[in-house]
Order: sequence, then C-alpha cells, then structure tokens
Amino acid sequence: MQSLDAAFRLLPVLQGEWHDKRTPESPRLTMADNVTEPQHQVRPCPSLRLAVPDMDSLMFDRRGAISQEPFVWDSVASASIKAIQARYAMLPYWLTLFAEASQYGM
Amino acid sequence: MSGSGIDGPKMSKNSGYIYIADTLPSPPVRALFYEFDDPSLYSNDVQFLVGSSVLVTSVLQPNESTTTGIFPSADGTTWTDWWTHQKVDTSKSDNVTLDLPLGEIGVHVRSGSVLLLHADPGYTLTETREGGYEVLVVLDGKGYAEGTAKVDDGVSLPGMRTATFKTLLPPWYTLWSGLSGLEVPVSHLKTLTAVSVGDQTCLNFTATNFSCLNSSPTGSYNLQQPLTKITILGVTSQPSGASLNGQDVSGVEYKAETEEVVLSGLNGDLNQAWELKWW
Repeated sequence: MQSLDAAFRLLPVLQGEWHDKRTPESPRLTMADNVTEPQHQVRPCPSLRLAVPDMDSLMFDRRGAISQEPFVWDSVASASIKAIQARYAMLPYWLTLFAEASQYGM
Repeated sequence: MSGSGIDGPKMSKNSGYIYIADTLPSPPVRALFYEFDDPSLYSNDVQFLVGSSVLVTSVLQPNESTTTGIFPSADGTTWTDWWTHQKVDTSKSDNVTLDLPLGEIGVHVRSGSVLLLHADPGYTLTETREGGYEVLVVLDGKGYAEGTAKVDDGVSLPGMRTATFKTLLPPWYTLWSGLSGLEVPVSHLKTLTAVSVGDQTCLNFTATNFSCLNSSPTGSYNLQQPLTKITILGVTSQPSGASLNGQDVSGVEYKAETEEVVLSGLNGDLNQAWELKWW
C-alpha cells in the first residue's frame, strides 16, 4: 500500500507539472499559441537539462530549424564526396584487415 | 611466444617480430606505437593507423586549419600524401604541421606498402565493386614494397569451423544420458555449420629494386573485375619503358614532381600471377 501511495504522489512529476512549477519562464505550449519560432521543448525531467545543457542546439527536427543534411551546403557536400570516395577506394584494404582480424586475430 | 601483451608495441615490421606480426595481426585500426618502437609515441592520441600502411591525421580543435602530427622516419620510413602524392618532409623533425582547412583530412601512405584499391569509386558500393581494381605501390628507400589483399565475395563466411553447441542438443539428451549413462552418438547431435563457405583469394604483391612488381595469388575465389590501373610512387627516374608479363605497356605516364609512375587503361587478370617490369 505504501508504494502505491508514493506512486500517486509522484504522478504530477511524471506528467511534467512539477518541472513547470519550478521553471515558470518556459510555459507549456498549446496548439493555440501558434508558434512560428523554434521553442524550447518542455521536458518532464529537469535532470536532463542539467546533464545536456546544449541539447537544444542538437535538436534539428524541431519546428523552425533548417534541414541539416550534408547536401544543404556545397562545401559540406564536396567534402563528403571526397571523403566517401577515398573510403570506397580503400575498401579492399579494409576488407583485408577485417579478414585477417577475423581469421587470425588475437 | 612473446608476441602479445607487454611486447605489443614492439610488433613492428622492422624490429624482428615479422613472424608474430604476420601470424597474429594487430587490430585493423591501431595506434602509432603498435608499428614503431618509440616511447615518445605512447602519448600520441591524435593520429591513428589503418592497418600498418595508412596514417590518418585529422584536425581535432575547433576553428583551426592546421594540425601537427608525428610521422616516424627513424627507420627510413617516408610518408606520402594520399590526395596529392607528395612526400612529407621529415628531414628536420618527425613532428610535421599539416595545412588542413575545413573539409580536408590528413591521410598518408607508408613507404614500403602495396594497397589494392577500387579504381573508380562510384555512387554506391555496388557500382564501386563493379569497377576495376587499382594497385597503389609506395616504394621505400631501397625500392622495396610488399602487401597482401584478401578478396572474397563480401557475403559468404570464409571457412567457418564446424561446431557443436549444447543448445542444439536434442531435447531427449538429458533423459537419455541420465538414465543410460551413455553418450549420445556424435552423428545424432545437431551441429551448427556455415550455410555457405565462401572462397577467398589472397593476392601477394612484392615490388623490388625500383624495377619490378610481382603478384602471386593463392586461393579459389574468382575476381571478376580486371586490374585497370597501377600507380607506383617513389620512382626517382623516368622509366623509358614498361612491360606486363613480357608484353610492352604503352600508356606509361611519369610525374617527376611526385616521383610517380601511372599505368592506366590496363586490362589485367588478378586471378593469374603477373609481373610488371620497368626500366
């Protein structure tokens, strides 16, 4: 019975309400807010924010962010092509190393 | 046998551990001190070797376009840039600063090595594999180089051992052996065997005396793609002619700046032994 009681007390935390109370500067968004700019996603666990402070800059899939594929920029595209071609050319060498490691490796 | 563990850093081609280095290979990606017997390399955590022949040096600091790496040259080793085929100048010091703007990676090939490559990297791996092969030779100071390449179909398992696993014993095994005290005949046990055991061919390349490159294949895998290009780096004088298996080769190109001989437009069969000579 005691553990069930604790679980009910934790319920608002699991739902994210506790986090909202602690950080009123990032209110929970609703569909009616009609957001056009990128917004901080409300995370229910405050410890995540402490552990990964730069998480927001790593989230490319949120609203308003530009796409991050290598072909978006010419410089990144040409660098990728150059590196991938070198890697493809060296494949027989890599396969030799893997074969040796797999058959006779320590 | 002292080849592993504490003697690991000594397993270099050049320090008398040839047998061990050949029979118990190091990991595919290794640190520099695996190949060069120099305690100052123990702290090098910015470079790595792919196999024994390719050294990768990359810029690890943000907003920088140069990086300093160690290019060991004590035993006469030289390093040639993968992209430009220029030799790294280690005459003053082994610590060399490379100019690597954004998008460039430092890749250098060790002297004395022969690499089998895909000649025409394509858009996909299938296209790449359907193209021909290239042999890249980087001669050392004595005109010698060696290398092996193991080629198979890339799918089948090469020579997997037949093994018996306890989980594959028949369900009546415990009851049978418990009651009778007899072993189950081996022929009644299920064994795990490879579904298909693939063929493999090992190509052994040797270049000698600034004048000769040999290939001797062993194994039963049939390479379908031809040898279309041979690049030899470290040839100090322009050759006046070249022959492949005794037949003269016409398209010999020499670049004096990079000491490079390029034979392109070949149609060689890698399944047969061949010999390239130039003079």
